[in-house]
Amino acid sequence: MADKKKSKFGQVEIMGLLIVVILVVVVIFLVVSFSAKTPPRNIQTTYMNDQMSTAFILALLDTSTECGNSVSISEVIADCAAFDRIKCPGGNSCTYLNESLDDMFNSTLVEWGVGFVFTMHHISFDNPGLNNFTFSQGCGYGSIAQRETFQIIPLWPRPDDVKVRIKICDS
Amino acid sequence: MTENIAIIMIIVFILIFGFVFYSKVRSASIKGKLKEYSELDLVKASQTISSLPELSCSRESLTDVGCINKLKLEAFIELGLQEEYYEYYRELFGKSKVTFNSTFPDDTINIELYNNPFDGINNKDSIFIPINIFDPINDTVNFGYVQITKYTQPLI
Repeated sequence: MADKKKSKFGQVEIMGLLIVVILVVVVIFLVVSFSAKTPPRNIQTTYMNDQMSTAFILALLDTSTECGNSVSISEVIADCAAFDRIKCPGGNSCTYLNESLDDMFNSTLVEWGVGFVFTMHHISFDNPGLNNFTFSQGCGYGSIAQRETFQIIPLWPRPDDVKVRIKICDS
Repeated sequence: MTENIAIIMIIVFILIFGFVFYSKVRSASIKGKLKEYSELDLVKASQTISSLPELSCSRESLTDVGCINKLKLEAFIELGLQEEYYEYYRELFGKSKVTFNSTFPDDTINIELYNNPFDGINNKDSIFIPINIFDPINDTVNFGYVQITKYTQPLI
């Protein structure tokens, strides 16, 4: 009788030990699951967005146009803002600028699916027709701004200038 | 006795389950690391290409950042990277593809500088860097981009 009781007690002990082992395994399982779920670093997208705003705006402003002789985009921007002296295919510098910028964005950032907002600030651009030359894609309220770069185009001899700004965001 | 065998079997089952689970977690983490290294390679290749003195524009002995000279690019292609220079550039670019494209005002420049894929199926990841492509003959600066595509082999 005493032996049977002892054996029963031993079984209960082993069951208890088993429950402890199972609990430990479950805890380890949960810990490893959570640690495995850590999102991987997206190096490529981060680097591209980081480089994009600066590289884009610098390349854009140096680009040649079909207006006059060796006139760059930054000179066309200055002309559109203040002087209106340069003649371009299809009209004046502002019309040309609007069409050219649209072309450039469509063949690059829009095609690559990169979210962006591009604006040019000057008092003469602040009207519904030009709307500060705003071009954008996928930079809504929920998106996170990655990088913002701006360049200043002086309108010498005038005291004012044009601010060209681009913001790259996660679309 | 039967209970002891049952308990041993349960413990063995837990051990096997744990081993399978751990190996799955490890394999997922290795895949993540491989992707990370491949992306780092891509970033490294893009930095190398952006600053290659063989291709970049220069004015009065000063290198122009973010600008590629079209004539240098054409001369570089004529070198024939598949021959004597191949090993050197393979070390720099690895398993990747590098193309230069212009979009404005001249959208006709589309030059493949280097292409070295794996045999068979390739996974691709691309990075785009906006640049200027300077044409010294017409004295025009085109707006364009360099596309670097990194090849990786699909994991089994």
